Amino acid sequence: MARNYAYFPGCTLRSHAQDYERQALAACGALGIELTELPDWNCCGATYPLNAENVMELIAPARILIDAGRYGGDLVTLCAVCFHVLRRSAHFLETHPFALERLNAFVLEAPTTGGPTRATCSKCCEMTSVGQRCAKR
Amino acid sequence: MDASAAQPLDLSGREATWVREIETLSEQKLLACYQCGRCSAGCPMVDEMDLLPNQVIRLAQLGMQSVLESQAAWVCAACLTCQARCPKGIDLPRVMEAIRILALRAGGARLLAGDLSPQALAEAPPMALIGALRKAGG
Repeated sequence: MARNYAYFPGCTLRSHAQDYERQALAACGALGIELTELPDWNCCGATYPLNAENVMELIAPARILIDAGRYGGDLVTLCAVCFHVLRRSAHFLETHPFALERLNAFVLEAPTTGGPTRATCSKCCEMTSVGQRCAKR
Repeated sequence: MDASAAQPLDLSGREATWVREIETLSEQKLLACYQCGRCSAGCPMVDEMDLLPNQVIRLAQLGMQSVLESQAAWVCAACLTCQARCPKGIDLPRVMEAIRILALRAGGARLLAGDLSPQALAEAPPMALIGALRKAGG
């Protein structure tokens, strides 16, 4: 049974780690996992902002999570740094509704309801949903 | 920077405000730290630091703004080992980030894209470049 996920490659896989992406995509193809690349994706930000004051630094990962929401909500990324940023951003927005509201006001593509949805890693089955808890936790 | 050098200690007025500023930026309670040193024991970057992570916290607790001159906060890679091991649950990387932010506000950007050599720009992975510029670019 083929599984289909939204796919976020990230900047480094398109420049310095092209071999890694080629091999991972081939492995996913052999395992029947279809990865649909997000159109018009942007850099995840590369660092998770540790500054409590500046929520705006989360705009880049939030936009990616919002786009992933349009493609079913499950997002795969191969890059450990992208996963770190996206996963922590999703968790932060999940637990800080006020920050999510502020971000949604700034991101033009934000849906009228919902907002960022889920992030998952190619290496684990952990998923989060902004606004709702994963059933496994 | 010499941690043992005598420095004036004043916990009134400006210093207290400065401590609160760090606590607000980092969302951490600095006085929760009782200096057990587990952060410094586990830090993989500690050999490169002029102050140990627990010394950074101590100076910040006491409102000693000389901590802004330390290189320790810039060396911190935010690997979160200290945060995982802290028995008081202090998120040290957030404190380091607060110190970096205050240092940037006081002295401007430490790293600009224009300062990097064309070779570095070509060879460094984008995640490293963006990470470094976000950390030290202000």
